[in-house]
Amino acid sequence: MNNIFAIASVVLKEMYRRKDFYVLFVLTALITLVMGSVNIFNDDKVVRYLKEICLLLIWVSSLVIAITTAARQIPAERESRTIFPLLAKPISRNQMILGKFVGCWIACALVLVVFYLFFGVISGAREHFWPVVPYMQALFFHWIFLGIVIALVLWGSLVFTAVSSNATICFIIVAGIMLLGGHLNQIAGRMNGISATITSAIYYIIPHLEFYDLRDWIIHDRGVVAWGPWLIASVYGLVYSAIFLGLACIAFRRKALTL
Amino acid sequence: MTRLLLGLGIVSAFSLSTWLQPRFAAMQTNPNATDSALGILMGESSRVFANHFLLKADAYFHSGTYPSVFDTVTNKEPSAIMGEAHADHDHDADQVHGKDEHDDHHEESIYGEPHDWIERLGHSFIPTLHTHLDKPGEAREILPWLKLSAELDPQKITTYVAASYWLRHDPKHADEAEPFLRQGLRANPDSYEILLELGKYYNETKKDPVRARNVWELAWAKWQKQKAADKKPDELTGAEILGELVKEARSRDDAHSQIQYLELLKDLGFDKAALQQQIDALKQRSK
Amino acid sequence: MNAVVEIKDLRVEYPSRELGQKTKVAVNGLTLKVSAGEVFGFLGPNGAGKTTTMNVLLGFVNPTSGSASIFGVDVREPIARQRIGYLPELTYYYKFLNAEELLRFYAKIFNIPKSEREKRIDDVLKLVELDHARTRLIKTYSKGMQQRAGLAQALINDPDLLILDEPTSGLDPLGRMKVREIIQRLKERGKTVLFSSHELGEVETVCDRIGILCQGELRAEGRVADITAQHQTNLERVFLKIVGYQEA
Ligand SMILES: Nc1ncnc2c1ncn2[C@@H]1O[C@H](COP(=O)(O)OP(=O)(O)OP(=O)(O)O)[C@@H](O)[C@H]1O
Ligand SMILES: [Mg+2]
Repeated sequence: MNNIFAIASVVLKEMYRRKDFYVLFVLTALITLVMGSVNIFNDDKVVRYLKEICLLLIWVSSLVIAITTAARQIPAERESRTIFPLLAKPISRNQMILGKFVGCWIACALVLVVFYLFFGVISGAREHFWPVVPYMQALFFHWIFLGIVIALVLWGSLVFTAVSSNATICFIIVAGIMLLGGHLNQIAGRMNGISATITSAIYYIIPHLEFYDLRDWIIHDRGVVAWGPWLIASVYGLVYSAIFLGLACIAFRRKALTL
Repeated sequence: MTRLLLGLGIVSAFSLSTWLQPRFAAMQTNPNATDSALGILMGESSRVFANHFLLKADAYFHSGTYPSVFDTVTNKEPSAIMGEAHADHDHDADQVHGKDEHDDHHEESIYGEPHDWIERLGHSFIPTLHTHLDKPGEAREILPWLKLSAELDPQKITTYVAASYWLRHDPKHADEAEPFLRQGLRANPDSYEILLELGKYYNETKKDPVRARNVWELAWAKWQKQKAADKKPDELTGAEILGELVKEARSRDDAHSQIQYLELLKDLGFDKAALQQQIDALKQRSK
Repeated sequence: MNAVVEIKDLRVEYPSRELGQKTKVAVNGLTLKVSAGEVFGFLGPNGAGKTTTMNVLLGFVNPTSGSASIFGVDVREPIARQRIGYLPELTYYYKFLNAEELLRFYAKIFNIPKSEREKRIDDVLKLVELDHARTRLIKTYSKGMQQRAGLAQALINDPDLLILDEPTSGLDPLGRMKVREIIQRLKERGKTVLFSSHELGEVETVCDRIGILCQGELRAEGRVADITAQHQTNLERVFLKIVGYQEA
């Protein structure tokens, strides 16, 4: 545990000494504010499009931050050879993976808190009401989502050699699941034979990342999400993170650490 | 691995460019090509986005319920906002194409029964209940998307008509319908649809039937011009223009004009017998 | 005397990079013991397998066959590394940390209690003479300074066994002497040191025993005096002879 947090704290330190997050945050804030100043038929109460744009930017930025940060961790350790003095310490490779995961995940939590605070202020300033609980539910879901993504990317970084190809592949997988994941059963229903079987197998195997997208829910003020399903989906997400982390540990255990 | 990705990238770039090239060529020769800055900037894709934003407006109108192309259980076509607009409005207009099956299905899932537990769970996190933005002023939320759609594809007539419908039904925005419709008319000078909507604006919002009649007559002339040019104008819209003219004439007790428009309406082929009855009755009265 | 490092019949093969080629044998049938309190010098030409052997001891590379243990614990167990200090051949450290933070990070992993941690950091920084640059980011260090930072992190847990891969490379003459002094002092305190070097003079002065590795095989092993006596010539000549250099 001690080791895991020691590694995580280094990830966090790197995070705030790099400029990526600040740039993305300023960009998000700037675009949102510019869009907010557009004249929509002289009505300054129109708010949902602004929430939509702001949330879209938040989702894209956080995904970019999560993927690039996680994808870099282990390859950078190997490239700069910092992994040698590190693993020469009494620390297991599993602990190193977990530490990297925890670090990236906590970093993302901080990023999300900043982003959602901005979102809350912007939307609240126009709507004059603050649905705190739904926003918290959305933030937590978003965080669970990023947890799965980080675990997936960490696993990918041990399978693919190049950081960029790993990041690209993970981005495509995540975007693909978000867009199509929930519809694969319907697609399978229209196919037949072996391809239908494969498609529905994929449908049941993949982590359904689209669950965690509460954007439409909070844009249209649908109130508090039912706690039961919310809890089930949270556990479901944690299970998938654990599976991907397990796979990452297995992939890392077999790896010889040379350049 | 890297080499494979590179290869994949080159192949996809190539196929994309072969797909795009004829489209670009077509656009350059098309004198009616989009003329807004954003539209030019985004090229051909702007039309795709414009359509997307129109769909977005529709989804907003239904508070986020947004059936995808994969959801077979859809009881409405993409331009449902238009449907709504006409439906509510046409009940009193005894028009031919009132969407009367459109309903009060509020508070009912549009996605139907989930097929499995994943879908069931997923439905807990997206708005699935079919509701409308019918609290006063709420409809304003769809306006940004309509504005964006018009910006991206000025030739898309649905956008103007839908926006105008919502604008003129909101007391705070009623006056903004006219400039927007005029903007649409500048981009589409031959659009009888926009003229029809403009007439409604004068008639219902501005209570200026004389002006409305002029606009509707112009709309009908445009419609006929398109018909003559064999451009297959929409017959339902044509009928609606004539319907408005009939109503307007009726309000002035102008039997002659009524008969004239009803005859035209009959030529369009809708419910000839009933129309003939009305014409006969009018002729009877004016004797 | 009990063995601190014990290597038995070690063989390490690297998978070849090019297709259709045989695997590369880096270490072949190496058997070696280093006893407590000893300073052992690893010699051998470039590519002999010194670094590979150390990598096995630290668990970076798995042996193809044979075994290795440290303090009687198999090297694949993380706990085997609790009492080791290691300086890699090429040292680069987290660019976004300064020396102090780097040492604090490693100290945490060694579970050094908070009360002791800061004092230990002060001590090693003073020892390697980086005290003045402790809050500067490591990426701004010169090569020699980075090497010293590496040495500092190897000493942070007050290890009983030090594994140093070419500790003096990149250091100025004064720095080298300093490293020799450190090794000497550690030896006086009963620590065991295993290090590799290309500096024959240095090895001669500080080592109790040496091993000469060539093409993955241990060609000679023993006290410097014994080896030179056996071949009746100085260490340099012995080395050249063992690696197969023919004098004109
Ligand atoms: N990752 C690797 N993949 C394939 N072969 C390797 C790898 N690492 C080392 N080798 C090979 O193993 C052999 C031993 O290398 P090693 O690094 O142990 O030598 P060394 O004795 O440390 O040399 P030097 O004095 O140059 O540091 C060399 O022939 C080298 O080419
Ligand atoms: Mg070496």
